[in-house]
Order: sequence, then structure tokens, then C-alpha cells
Amino acid sequence: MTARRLPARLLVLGFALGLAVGPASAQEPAPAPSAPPPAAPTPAGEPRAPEDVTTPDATPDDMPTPRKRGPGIRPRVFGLVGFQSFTAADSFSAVLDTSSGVVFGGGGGLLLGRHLFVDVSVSSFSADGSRVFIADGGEVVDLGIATEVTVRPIDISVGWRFASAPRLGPNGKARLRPVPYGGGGFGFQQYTETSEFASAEDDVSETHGSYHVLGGLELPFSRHLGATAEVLYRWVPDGLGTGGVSSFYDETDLGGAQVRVKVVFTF
Amino acid sequence: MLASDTQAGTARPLLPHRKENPVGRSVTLVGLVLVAALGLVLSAQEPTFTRRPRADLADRLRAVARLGTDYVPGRILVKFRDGLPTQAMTSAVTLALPGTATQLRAGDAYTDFTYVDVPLDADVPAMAAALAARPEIAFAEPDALRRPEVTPTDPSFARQWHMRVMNLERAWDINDGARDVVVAVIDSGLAMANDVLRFPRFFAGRLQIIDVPFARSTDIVSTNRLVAPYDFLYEDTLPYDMDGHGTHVTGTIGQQLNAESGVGVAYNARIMPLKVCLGEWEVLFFLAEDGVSTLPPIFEGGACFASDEARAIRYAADNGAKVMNISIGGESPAAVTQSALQYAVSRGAFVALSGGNRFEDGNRPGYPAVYARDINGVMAVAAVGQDLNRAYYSSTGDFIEIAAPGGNTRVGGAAGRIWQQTYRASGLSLNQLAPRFDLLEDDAYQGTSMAAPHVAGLAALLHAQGIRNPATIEAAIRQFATDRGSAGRDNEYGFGLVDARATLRGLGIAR
Repeated sequence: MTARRLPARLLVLGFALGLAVGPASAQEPAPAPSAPPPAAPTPAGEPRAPEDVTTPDATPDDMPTPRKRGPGIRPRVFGLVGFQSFTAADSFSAVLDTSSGVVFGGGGGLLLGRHLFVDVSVSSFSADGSRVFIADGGEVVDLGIATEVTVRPIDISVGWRFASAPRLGPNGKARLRPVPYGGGGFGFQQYTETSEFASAEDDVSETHGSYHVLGGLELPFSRHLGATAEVLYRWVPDGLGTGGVSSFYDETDLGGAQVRVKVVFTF
Repeated sequence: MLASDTQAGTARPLLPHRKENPVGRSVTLVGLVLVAALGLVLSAQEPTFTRRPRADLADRLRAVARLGTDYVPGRILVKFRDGLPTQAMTSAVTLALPGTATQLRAGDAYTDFTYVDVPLDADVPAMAAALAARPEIAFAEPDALRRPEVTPTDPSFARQWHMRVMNLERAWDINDGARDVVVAVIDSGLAMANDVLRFPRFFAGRLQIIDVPFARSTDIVSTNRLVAPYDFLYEDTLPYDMDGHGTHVTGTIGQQLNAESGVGVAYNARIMPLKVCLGEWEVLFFLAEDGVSTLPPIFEGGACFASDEARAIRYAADNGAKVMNISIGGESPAAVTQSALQYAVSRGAFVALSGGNRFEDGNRPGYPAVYARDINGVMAVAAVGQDLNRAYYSSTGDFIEIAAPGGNTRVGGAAGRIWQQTYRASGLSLNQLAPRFDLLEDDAYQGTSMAAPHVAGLAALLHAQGIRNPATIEAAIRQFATDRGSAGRDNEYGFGLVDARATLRGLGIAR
């Protein structure tokens, strides 16, 4: 199937890239950079490892006390591009010749302290196909009536970042380390299906409730800029199955797996 | 033999020309006048056909009329097992029918059976049963009589409600009238040409030769629209309709859009008119030599024979037809037709059959409609009226698979019939010297004969839309039918009333 609405996708992609221009970090911010304290001699006379200096117990009395940061709230925005695979594989394949495709989107959220986050994301899948007839033997017959399907999930996610305490690198800057995270949430999914020669009652435009789980890995590039690789699995029960080929295949779930990469800007 | 040696449009040859009589010119003139008069008298004494029908046709009709059977007396259709040598065939027949004078004749083109001629007064069904019991024989049966399944009614000016009932106006948005799909109409022929033919007619107590005018249905027949027309009764390529039934049925399938009168379901399809039915007038022509001036009741509605029906099906399949319509039927089984239907489907042709008009006449199952039950790609069609309920005449049974508009005067009155272009009823009246097959107008018929071509037309649309397998066409028509009567399939409506638009639109993911 030929993906359509390329300009719209380019717009979303441009938005995502725009977000990526500024610095961001998915990592809990490290202490404000300051002059590195002189390495205190160890009993063995060797310099301490930089990691040690960040631990309160190891802070020498004469070094400046790192600025205490409470459970701060940091907003963030992101653009995403990904790959959606639908649970209703037979139904999507029959009409679109494929049960998966590229998604674009974006969103925003809050980091609540070092571990907790809340995000809202919107993504969009769109593809062209044609209406079909399924023969008794399962053969799919293309009727040549152009059809466009758009799926737009809105996901509200709450998750936990498995972030360790910040550590400084050899240059005294905070180390940028990957942060795994996981979560889940709920949302809504808008489904539209339009076709040639359709009257108002023929086309489909419905919104269904959904829920999902997700997991991923944050890859910080700087204090503000980062990227995430994320896998999300979404359930949209009873989103299909009352008509069309989904009824024939008895496929009722409009959800599926989504693998996506987000470019994140954290304020 | 009914036909004389006279050829189209020419008078009988005169007697040998006399030599010039030297006695005087006036005597010569008198002689010539006498000779001419004698020639006219002689020519009036023998029936004259412009076109020659098949040699055995009149014999068939005479035998049926005399004995009142619903099959051809003196003939059995036999299919021997494949590879059986001729000697073994003869032996099998002799063993099955000891003491009976029999003769084997090879079947005509487009047959898979052999004719076994037996005496005219023989008990054909019993002999067929005896033959069928032989292991060398696949089937043996009488050559069953068929009739067009129509109930003609008076003309009026009602509109084609039947097209709207099928949701066709919006279906044509999707498919432009089945462009170039070849639809075979196996019926009484088609008003396909302007012509004048000569036939014998016993009228007012004497045998006469009459000129019968024909006209082309300009709303059906256009340049290059007809594909391989054939007349199985005359064995030529001029299947002129001498009844109106075939033209009406063809109109439902393919009357052209935005032309002079109504429209057909598949208005851009190509038409293959195949004539297997005699109209009432033709029966009179063929029996004129016997002094028959009024139609024997057994031929009311016309006459068709299973053997010709089977041949036409095979002919259509071999000549590119992708859809066939057969709006004729009878109460006798015909394995030859069943075999031909299976052959047609194997060649990729969908077949619509009229379900029968016998509900108030004992509701006995009709053939070939019964065969539809067991052949995917062949559908038997019931009729509904304007109220979308089963028409009073429409047969019911487990062979009924779908319902389509067939008309019902009891609930729709004059407006409740099916309107298509065909011959003007007054021109067909039997109470006149000669019919007029050149007067065409919109006329109203009702019957499962009218319901079947709606389904055939829809099948043509589906074929043009990409559904090529006959079984798949049947499945699509069934699946998108609007359920009527009892929930699910039932014996009145089958899977319901056809919905052309829903069928053509098919399925999306969610709807």
C-alpha cells in the first residue's frame, strides 16, 4: 500500500526534528558544574575515582556542598517516529496489504523527580488500500474501491525511570547514562475509514478507549536533549469486529505493538 | 419436412417456360396468366420458411402436442461412460431395452450425450430408467420440455421500481454497467435485427404464407454489442425472438443507459443471445402444415427442450460468456443440463436460474433451478414484488438461494411488474393472421423469469468489479443480501433480497 498524506507526515517529522535542535537530557540533572575539587589523597595516596566524589559520605568537609535538589518537576516535549503493528493483522492485511506501518507523532509530559514521569503522546498511522470481498475459502478479492484508514491513538502514560544517582565523569561533568523505564496507562484511539463512493453512513469515524504498557530506554545527549527507544503495546478492545473484514476474521482488538523513537527536549 | 425449397424472399420457381405459340399473342398471354396462377396456388399449398428450422423440430412439437407429454416422445438422452466403444454402447442399449427398436445418434455440437431414438409410442421415462440402470451409462433421461417462467401482463407506463429496490442507482456509481462482460441469455432470442421473414400460417381455414416483420431493439442492440449469437432451433446465427420473453429478459440485463426507454442492470455488458425456446407463434408456424390454427394448450407460454438448453450452456461457456441467465424451467429433471451447468462453472461462468412460478400450482420443484443447490456459482432466484415480499407465484424450496424483483400485480397493481423494452403485446396476439415483431415498447412482465436477470446483471457488475470466480460471485451475492423472511436462509427468499450496492462495495476493515 502506498502511504499517503506525506506532507502531513513531513510536518510532524519536522516538528520532531525541531524539538531536537535544542539541548535536552533524559538523565536526572547532575549537580551544577563547578570547579572540580582537588582530589583528596587517599590513604594509599591515589586519587579518588570521580564517582566517589558524588557520594555524600565521601564528600570531604572542605569541598562545596552540592546544591540540594528536591523532587523537582521538569516539563518535557517530544516528537516521535515509529512502527505500528496491529493485532488485527488479517483484517489490516486484507484491506491494506499490510498489518503494520510507520507512525508519526509527538507529545509532552512531566518528570516528577528523578523516577516518576507522566506523558501524553499522540501518534498517527495512515494508509491506503481498497475494499475487498473474502471468498468462502478465504481468498481476498480486491474490489478496486480506494479506501483510506487512519488510526490516531492518544496515550496517557505514567511510568517509572530506573535512574541511579547522578555521577560525574572524569571531566567533572555528570555522566550521561542510559536510563531504562517502564510504565502503562490508558487513552483513546480515533479510527477513521473512508472510501470512494461512500455516503455519510458508510464511512467510519469512531473513538475507542484503550490501555497500554510501555518500556524503553532513555539515551541522554545533553542536559536537555535526549532520545528514547520505546516499545508500547496497546489494547483497544471492541474497536473492531462488528463489521467489515474484521467481523469475518473475528478480530476485535484495534491495538497492537508500537516501536518508536522519541526525541526529547527537557526544560 | 415443413420447409419448402423456397429461399428467403423469393417466390417458388415457375413451371417450365413454354415455347412461343405461333397461333397468337393473346393466347400466349392467357397461358402465362394461367401458369402464374397455378404457380401461386401451388406455392400456397406448401409451408414456406424464410429460414429453415432444424429438421426434427416440427416432429418434436407434433409428438408433444399429440401425446401431451412434458418431454419429447421417441427420444432419450444418454450419456455413456467415458471411453466406451461404440459396440459396447449399442450392446448396452440392446440389453437395457430388449425387443425395442432403437437407434443411436451422436449428439449435436456442444453436447456430452447421445440420442437414443425409440418408437414414438414408447414409454420414454421407463426406458430411460432402464438405460440408466446399466453400468455403462452415466445417465439417461427424457428430453424434458421447458417453458419461459413468465406471467405476461398488460402494458402500462409505470417506472422501473425494481432497479431502485436493488439499490442500483448508487451501485452504478461504483461500477459503470459491467463494461464488456459477456452475458449469455439462453431464452427465446432477441429482437436483434430489422428484417422480414416468411412463414406458413394456417388461418381462416387455409394454409397461407405470411410475411412477418422484425425490428431491432435499439435500446438493447448497438454496434458490436452482440457476441456470438446463435439459434439452436434453426442452427444459425440469427436468434430472432418470436415471443418477447427473451428480449424482455435481455433488457433487464442490458438495456442501455440514457437511451430511449428503461435501463438494464448491466447496461454496458455485451450480450450473447442464444435461442433455445420457441414462441407461441413459432409453434403455430411449425404446426401449420398439420392444419393447426390455434395453439395447443401444452405450448402456452412457448416451448423449449432440455437438450437445446444444455447445448446452449456449453456453447456459451466455450464462447466467452462469463455470466449466463436461464429464465426457463420445467418439472422434469435433466442431467444433461446439470452436467452443462457444472461445465459452465468450471469454465468460469456464473449462472442465474429462475426459481419457478409454481407456488400456487402445487409448488413442485422446478428444473434446472433445483441444481443450483449443489453447484456453487449457480443460483436459483425467487421473485419479490414492490413490497419486497415474495411474489404469490414464486416457488419455494431448499434450492432457492436468493430473491430479486420479479413483480407482483396483486400488491403492486399495474405498477408492480417489471418494465423493460420488448414487443408490443397487441402485435403478439394469436387471434390475427400474422404477428408483428417490429413493434417495440416498454412492457411489463412478472415472474421469476424477470427476477433471474436482475441477479445475472449484478453478477456481471461483480465480474467487472474484479470478482471472477463464479462461486465467489455467488458467495458475495449471498453475503450482502438483505435478509427477508425467517432469519438466515429460508425457502422463500434464500439468503434474502439482493443489494447491488452493498455487494459491489464489499468490505473495509471495520464496515
